[in-house]
Amino acid sequence: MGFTVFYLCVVVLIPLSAIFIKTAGLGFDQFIAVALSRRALLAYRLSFGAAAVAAAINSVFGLLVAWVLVRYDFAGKRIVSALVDLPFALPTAVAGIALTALYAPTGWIGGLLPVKVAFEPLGVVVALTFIGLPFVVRTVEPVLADLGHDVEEAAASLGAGRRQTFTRVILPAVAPALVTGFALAFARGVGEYGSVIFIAGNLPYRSEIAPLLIVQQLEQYNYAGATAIAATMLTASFAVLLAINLLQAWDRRRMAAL
Amino acid sequence: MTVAVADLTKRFRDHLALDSVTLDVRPGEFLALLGPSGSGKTTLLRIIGGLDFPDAGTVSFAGEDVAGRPARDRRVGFVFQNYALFRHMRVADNIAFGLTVKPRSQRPGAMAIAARVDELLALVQLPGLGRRYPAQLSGGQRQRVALARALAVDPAVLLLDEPFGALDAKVRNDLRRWLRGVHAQMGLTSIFVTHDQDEALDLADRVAVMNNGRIEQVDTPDAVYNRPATAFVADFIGNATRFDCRLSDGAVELAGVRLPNTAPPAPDGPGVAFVRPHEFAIASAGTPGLAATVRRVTHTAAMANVEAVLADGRVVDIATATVAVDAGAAITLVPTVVRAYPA
Repeated sequence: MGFTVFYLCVVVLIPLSAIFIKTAGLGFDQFIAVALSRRALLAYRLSFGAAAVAAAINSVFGLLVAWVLVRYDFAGKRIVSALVDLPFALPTAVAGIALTALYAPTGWIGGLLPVKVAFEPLGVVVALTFIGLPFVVRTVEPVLADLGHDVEEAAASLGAGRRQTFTRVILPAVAPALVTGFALAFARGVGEYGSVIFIAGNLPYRSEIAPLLIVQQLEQYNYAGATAIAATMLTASFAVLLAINLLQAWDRRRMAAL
Repeated sequence: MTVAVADLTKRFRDHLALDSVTLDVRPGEFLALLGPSGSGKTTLLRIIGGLDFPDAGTVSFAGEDVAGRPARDRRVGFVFQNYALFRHMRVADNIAFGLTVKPRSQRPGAMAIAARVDELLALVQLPGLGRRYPAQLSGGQRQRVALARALAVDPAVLLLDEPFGALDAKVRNDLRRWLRGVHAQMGLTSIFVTHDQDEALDLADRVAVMNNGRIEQVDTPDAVYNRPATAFVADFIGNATRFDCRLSDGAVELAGVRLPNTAPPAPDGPGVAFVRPHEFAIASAGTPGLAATVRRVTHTAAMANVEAVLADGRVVDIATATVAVDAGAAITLVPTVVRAYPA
C-alpha cells in the first residue's frame, strides 16, 4: 500500500499537480477566458465526442474481433492477433499519415466515399477508432475465453435462440470488461495527438482537438494558457473515468453481495 | 421416451470418435455411458443432445428422427460437468431461463414462472437460495441448480455429462442417491456419462461400456461386472489382472492350471485371461500356479490385501479372508475363477 501510494505520487500525482499549480498562476478571469473560450469549448467537444464515438464503435467491433479470436480456429489467426496490437506499437504519427493518405479525397478509400472524411471531424473519429481497437479487444478477449462454450450450449439446450443467447447470456457476462475496454479506448482517444493532427485538418472551431490547442499555446510560450486547457481536460477526463470505475465497483458489489 | 441411435459415426479430423454406434435406451431407464477418456462417450451424449452432429447415422426420440434438429428444439435437459451456470444471473433467474426464452405465446406469466422456480428449488433441496448468485454456492449446490435449470422446461430426456466429476467424494455419494430419486420421481429417461465405474455400477439400470468409439457391452451392472462380454470390459471393470493363456475345449490353461472358462465360449487357441483380486488362492511355493513373492500385507475390516510380485515383475493385488503369509515369503497364486477371451 505504501509503495503503491509512493509510486503513484512520483509517476502520476506530482506531474499532474504541477499542471494545477502552474494554472493557478493565471487569474480566475484569465483562466475562464482561455480554458472556456469558444474555440477551446469546441475543441473539448470534438476531443471528448470523437473519443466517445470511436470507443463506442470499438466496443461493437472489438467485441466481434475478440469473439472470432476466441471462438474460431483459422489459418493466420496469430497474424490477425498480432495485427490487433499494431496500433499499440505503431508510432502514432505513422498511423496518422497512413490514414490521411487513405482517407484524403485523393486517397484509395477517400476517393470512393461519398462523404469527406479526412480534414473533417469524421477523420478524427477514424483515427481514434484505429488507435483504440486493441484496448477493447484485449480486455474482452480473456473474459470471453473464460466464459466457455458450455454456457452457450446450456442456453441452446434450454431453448434459447442465438439472439437470446447473445443478449441474455454473453453480453451481460462480458459487459464489465466491455465497459473497461470502452473506458481505456476513450481515455486513450481523449489524449491522442499524433495520429489525429494529420487527418483532422485542424480547422479552428471545426476539426481542432484540445491537445492541439495546448501545443499551439505552448508554441506561443503561453505556458499558463496551455496548462489551463490541460487542467480542464484533466478534470473532465478524470470525472469520466471515475464515473466508469464507480459504475463497475457498484456492479461488482452487486454481484458479490450476499 | 425411447431414445435410439443407430450406426452413428463421428470423425474429428483424424480421430474416429464414434464408429457406427447403435444403442437403444428404454423409456424411464437410467443408463450410464462408461469408458476411459477418449472412448467417445461424451461425443455420443452431445450428439443425442443436439450439441454435436454425426457424420452418419440416426438419432430418434420416441421413434421420431431428430438428427437434424438443433439442441433448442429437442426438449432435452443437459447438465454439464462444470455446471455452465450463468454467473451474472441469480439462482432463480438461472432456473427460470428456459421458461423466459420461450416465444411470447408459450411463455408462462411471471407469477407462474416464480412458482415453478420455487417448486424446483424445493425439489433440488435449495429452498430460499433463489436470490443468491452461483458464485455464492458450493459445488454440490451449483450442480443441483444446474439440474433444476435443466428440469424447468420439462424435458423428456435428461443428459448428464460427468455430473459428479468436479465434486468431492462425500458430496458425490449423497448427490448420486438423490439424483436417482429425482429421476424416478420425474419419470425421466436419463443418460449420464462417467469414467468412474463405481458410479456407473451403483447408479445405472444399465451400463454401456465404450472403448475406441464403439460400444463393447450394454447390460445390467451385475452382468457387466460378472459376465463381461469382451476382453476390454473384463479388463476395464473391477481391477482384474491380465495373463496370457491357452483356450482348449472350453477350458483355460493358465500357468499349469486348468480351469473352466466363465466368459462366453471362445474358439481354441491363444487367449487372454482376467482374474480379479478375490479370485486367487494363496498356496505354498512349488504348487502349480503363478510363482510370486509377497511384498506387503494390509488388513481392512474383514479382508486382508496381499500385494504380491510375479516372476515377470508385475504386481498383483489379492483379496483374501485368511492370511498366513508375511512380507518376503515365496508363494504360489492359484487362480480359482477365470474369464478368458481369444487373443
